[in-house]
Amino acid sequence: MTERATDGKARREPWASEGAEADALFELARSLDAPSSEDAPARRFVAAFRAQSDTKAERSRLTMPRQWHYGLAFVAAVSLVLLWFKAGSLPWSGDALSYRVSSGAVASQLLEARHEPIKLDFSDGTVVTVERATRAHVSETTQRGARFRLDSGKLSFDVVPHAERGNWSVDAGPFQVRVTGTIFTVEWLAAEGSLRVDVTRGHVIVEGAGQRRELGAGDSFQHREASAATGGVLLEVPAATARAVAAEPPNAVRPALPAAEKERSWSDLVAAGQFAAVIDAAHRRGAQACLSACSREDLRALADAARLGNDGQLAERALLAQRARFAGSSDATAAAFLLGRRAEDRREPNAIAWYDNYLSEAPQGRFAGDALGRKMLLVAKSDAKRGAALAEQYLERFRAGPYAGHARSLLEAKGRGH
Amino acid sequence: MSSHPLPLVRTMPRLVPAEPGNLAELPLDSVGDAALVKALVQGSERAASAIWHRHAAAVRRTLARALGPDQELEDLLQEVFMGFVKRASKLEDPSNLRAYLVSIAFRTAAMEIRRRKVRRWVTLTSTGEVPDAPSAPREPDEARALHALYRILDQLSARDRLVFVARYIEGLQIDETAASLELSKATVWRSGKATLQHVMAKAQQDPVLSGYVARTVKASRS
Repeated sequence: MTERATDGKARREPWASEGAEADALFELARSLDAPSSEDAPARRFVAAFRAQSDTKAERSRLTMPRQWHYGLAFVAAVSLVLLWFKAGSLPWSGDALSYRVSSGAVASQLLEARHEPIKLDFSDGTVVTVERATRAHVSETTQRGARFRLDSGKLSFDVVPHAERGNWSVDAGPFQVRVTGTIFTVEWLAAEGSLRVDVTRGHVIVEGAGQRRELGAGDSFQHREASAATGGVLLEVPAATARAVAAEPPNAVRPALPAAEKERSWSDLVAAGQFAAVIDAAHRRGAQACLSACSREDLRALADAARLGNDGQLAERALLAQRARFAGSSDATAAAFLLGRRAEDRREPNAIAWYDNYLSEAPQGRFAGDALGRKMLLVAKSDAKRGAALAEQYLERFRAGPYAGHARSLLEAKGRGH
Repeated sequence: MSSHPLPLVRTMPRLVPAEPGNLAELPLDSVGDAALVKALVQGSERAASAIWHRHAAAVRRTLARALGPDQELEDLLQEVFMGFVKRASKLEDPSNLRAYLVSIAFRTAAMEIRRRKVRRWVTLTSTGEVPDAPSAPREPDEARALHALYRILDQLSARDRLVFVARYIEGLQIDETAASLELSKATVWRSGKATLQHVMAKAQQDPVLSGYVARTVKASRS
């Protein structure tokens, strides 16, 4: 806590998120360790486990002989085939929905409609239109729907309602739009952080950015981020206005994008969770050119966006570029830890070396506890003795740190002679 | 040493099965999690007991930090482990058992937080608060500060609260938090950042907490 007297009045400066005050708060919560040496809970669990196993065994004893299963399965299969011949198609299918792409576009998970819309005809009759100047992905198809990721642009849905609840959704920036059976459009302008959903029929749920809205027929929802700092303003637009706005050609706003992008720095976009927008912008500039010439701030934002936006390769290149171009800076030091994390995720052996680099460059740095803790866990996998030594070192420095439990377990194991 | 898949029957043929899972006489401390899960799926009570003794402390700690001081945790702890038993046969990577149990603990805590909110709305007690369980002995200063901190966390949504606990108290990385809470990394990033700022601001305004933090920081510097 810092207090400063100005003109006789005390003024309190806000606590920093990464300062000693934050650490004191975290340590306070970590003191909630709730240890229990009682054996009764373990016995209670084993008894519940035994009861469940007995019930399972009893159930399997009471079920019919296996030959009966085969007989019934055969009868069911014959019935289904007969039904199929009669009706022309199976009444249900265990397979995920399939889709055809119109207008000669290549069927793939990435959908990029530059000049003409692309129409997707799903096997259940649902039609999804990828409007002009839109980039989206089909992330997943299931038996009851599909999940899309909308990078930027507009998708129109005409979802066929099902007796069983449909499962269609769109991830757009920080939002998820979920739907069961309806006609609606989703527009996401990544560079502006602007989402718009217009519902013509049915029911839609929009969630994200700390908001949740349920929309019915004729409703519209619009979210615009006033700035990264304020986190955005929620606007609900009267349906009539919404329809009028929706009638504008979708490419009317396209030319404004680069200008809008220029107004918002990459750091702002990252802070607003718009990782895809930063990655796209870097690719437009030329990723390599950016890695070699971008400012330190942009390079940091690109590394963050790529890391958090699941572009691991670009993240690694950006982190290495930080190390090479800004050696000795706090960014370069933090990059060592993050490269260790990436190596660990990929189960590469050099993770420990990166953690060592970090610890030697920033022994008191903000990731020091994490670097030491993770190194300890990695080392312990192959060398229990060295792992235990690191555990001692960890506990000496971070008695109530997040890896303290692991460290104590390693020391206990060593004590038992394992 | 804990996680190497043990060819149990091959290495110890004479110790075979007094109970399902072929773990009859094995020194369980040396058996990896994957082998324990396999034996548990086959019905081994010793494996169930070993898994409990190996991981209950971490799960209890996660629940305690997610829910706050003076909470009755034993039923929730049982809930977590029985939830695991139900899904054990479908575990994709049994060697990563601790992370899996911790993720169930977070989900169980989320449900508990929502249940508590409902209890407050319908006012099951005269004050609207759930009666406290007997608390562990603790320094009064620290105890007061802890209650103040969790009063702030009580005002958060279950999601934001658990992201805060996972990221800053448990020290999980963004990807680990996202996996544990079944959220996107982007959501974890935003929620974590915003919640941290919110909690810091509220803590600074709280006289008990700000006093405690000031004393702690001063003591650590002296």
